[in-house]
Amino acid sequence: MAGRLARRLREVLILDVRRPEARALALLAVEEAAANILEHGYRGKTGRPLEVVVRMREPEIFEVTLKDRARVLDITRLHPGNLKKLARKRAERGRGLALVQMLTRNINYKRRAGGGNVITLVFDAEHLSEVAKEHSREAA
Amino acid sequence: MKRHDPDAHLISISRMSRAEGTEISMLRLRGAVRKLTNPDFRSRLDEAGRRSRFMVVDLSELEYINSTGLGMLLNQARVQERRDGWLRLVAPEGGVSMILRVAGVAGELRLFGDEAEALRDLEKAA
Repeated sequence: MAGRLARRLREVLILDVRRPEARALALLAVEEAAANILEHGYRGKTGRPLEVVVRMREPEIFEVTLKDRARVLDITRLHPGNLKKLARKRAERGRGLALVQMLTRNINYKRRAGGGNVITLVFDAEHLSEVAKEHSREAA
Repeated sequence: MKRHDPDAHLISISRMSRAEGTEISMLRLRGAVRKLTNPDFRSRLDEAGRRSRFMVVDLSELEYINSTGLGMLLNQARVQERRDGWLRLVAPEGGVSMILRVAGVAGELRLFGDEAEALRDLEKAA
């Protein structure tokens, strides 16, 4: 499922998000959020529903909404670890949500009528380009 | 003809012997590391790590790696370090290197542009 989601998202984002690094990082955040839903919301069970909607708000601002029918889980109440510390400790887990938080301008959550969750990831393409540049500079 | 599954990753593991007798385990990946391929990825890392305490993981042909896959790389690096060896990554610009940098992995594991560069560094350090 994840591969199809990524391909479909890429096809949609390429129409309106002109910065390639912004598209790549947005895809990363959405894949991590979707993986989170699968692992923690659906407890690893495959074949469960997940609806993904992309909406352009302004030229550089877009949002991706993920709607599921999983157990209620408000990710905005969670506190992810620090990515650098996790890498330094060679931690195997815990960086997915940290990535989502770092790459989004905002995360909105609400419970879904009839059961499940609605998570909206708000992206700023300029912010994503800055993140990409900042990490290239660090590496140099 | 079998339909190409873009989520599958083809892996080759080889062992190279260097002139001074050091053996290096080379793991090459292709495709994507996602939820469904994670268990296979872990077992391949483990297998490659057991062949030699010096390990090079070539990500040049990898299109995507998820945060769990990154964690497995870091964990394998720790395993190699405990064996008094190391793990190096080949990740040229344009591929998954941006994911590695943004996730903080590039700060902990050295990235090289190609295998030759990674091996030159090993020669200096061995």
